[in-house]
Amino acid sequence: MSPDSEQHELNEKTIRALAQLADGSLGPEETAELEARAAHSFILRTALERQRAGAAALRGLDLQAGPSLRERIAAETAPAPRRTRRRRLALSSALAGAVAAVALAAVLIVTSGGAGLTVTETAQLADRSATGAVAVDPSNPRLLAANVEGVPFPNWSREFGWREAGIRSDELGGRTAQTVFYEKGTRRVAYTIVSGKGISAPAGSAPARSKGVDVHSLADGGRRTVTWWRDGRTCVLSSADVGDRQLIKLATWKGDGAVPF
Amino acid sequence: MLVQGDGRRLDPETAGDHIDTLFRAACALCGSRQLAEDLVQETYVKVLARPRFLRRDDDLGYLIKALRNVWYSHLRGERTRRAATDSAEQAPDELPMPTSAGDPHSSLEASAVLDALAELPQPYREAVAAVDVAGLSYAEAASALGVRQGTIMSRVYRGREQVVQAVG
Repeated sequence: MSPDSEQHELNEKTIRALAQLADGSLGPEETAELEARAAHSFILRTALERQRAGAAALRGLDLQAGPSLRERIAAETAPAPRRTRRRRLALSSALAGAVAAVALAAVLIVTSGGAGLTVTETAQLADRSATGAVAVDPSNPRLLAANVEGVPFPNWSREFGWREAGIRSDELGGRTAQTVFYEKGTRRVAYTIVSGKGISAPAGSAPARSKGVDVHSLADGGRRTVTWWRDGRTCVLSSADVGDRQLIKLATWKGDGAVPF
Repeated sequence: MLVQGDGRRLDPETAGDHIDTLFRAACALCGSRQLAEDLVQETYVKVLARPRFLRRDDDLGYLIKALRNVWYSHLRGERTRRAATDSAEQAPDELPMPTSAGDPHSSLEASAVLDALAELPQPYREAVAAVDVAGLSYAEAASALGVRQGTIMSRVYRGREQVVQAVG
């Protein structure tokens, strides 16, 4: 059989019909017609056999999600009382504070460059719980296997003894905010990277420069927060257990160039 | 834009029923069990971040579409990161892919199929991941991937053909 005749027999319409015939989704009339043609054509018969083999191999892939992923998804999908309560509280707070929010809106727009989401709001993610585990990047032990728009989280365990304890992802103001929680003994810090354009530091935050990185620190209740940019993305490091100096040291660690800024 | 009242709300609890299917599709897309788990979790986090209203009774199609967006986002991030760190010689991300059965022959076969999938051009891989691995109809896959139904059929045909060729 010449290439020309093969091309003629396996035109686009036939190819689509063969794909359907192989998985049983072709209508009965078309099936009968194509099977009759295949009975007289070696090319069509071979193509159909290969389609059936391919479909069977792909449909027979025996892969199941592991228990860790199931737990993580269950945490997301279950109507957990704590989550519900938090939402209700948030709604109540939102209603109660609506007037105040309107009054503050103009101030927030000025201090956050009009971006909507603020560093202070982002820092509050430190109060939430991790929803999943995070691993060390197998190709680079100074990084974790998690990133936001290509900006990876650092692995501080070897250098500072801070071990990654979990991760969560949130949508804030139309942006993705991913937070990794690190722990050292009983102390804990939350490192959040926010997608999209960098968010301006809050008015009243204290600027500083360390290892060539511009950082801003601020206090929010009993929590200290440091914010800076990496590759144009906003990073927020927040903790109720650690002071500014230690936060800035962690924030500006470059891991001998392994941590991109 | 779809607003409340135009469609049925995605039920977070029933959305969790599709975890294995999404996981298989994610494995087919990325070839890494660990990354597939991250992609699936990220998909659920994004989808459940706010109420979703679907035009049709097609939760799985919607989730596959969301998974594909998360996968694209990951690819963009990887490109940015690799450009930033200039680490062209990083080890590949592929990991062993144990199957649920633990049968060595089955595991080898699955591994060979996944290797073959990894070699497919992206459009073919997405089409077979949606139709053959996730089990969407051609119409659902066309809707999820944003291409015509006939195009999905052609891509599935060519994807299967190349998988068979690679697996032997």
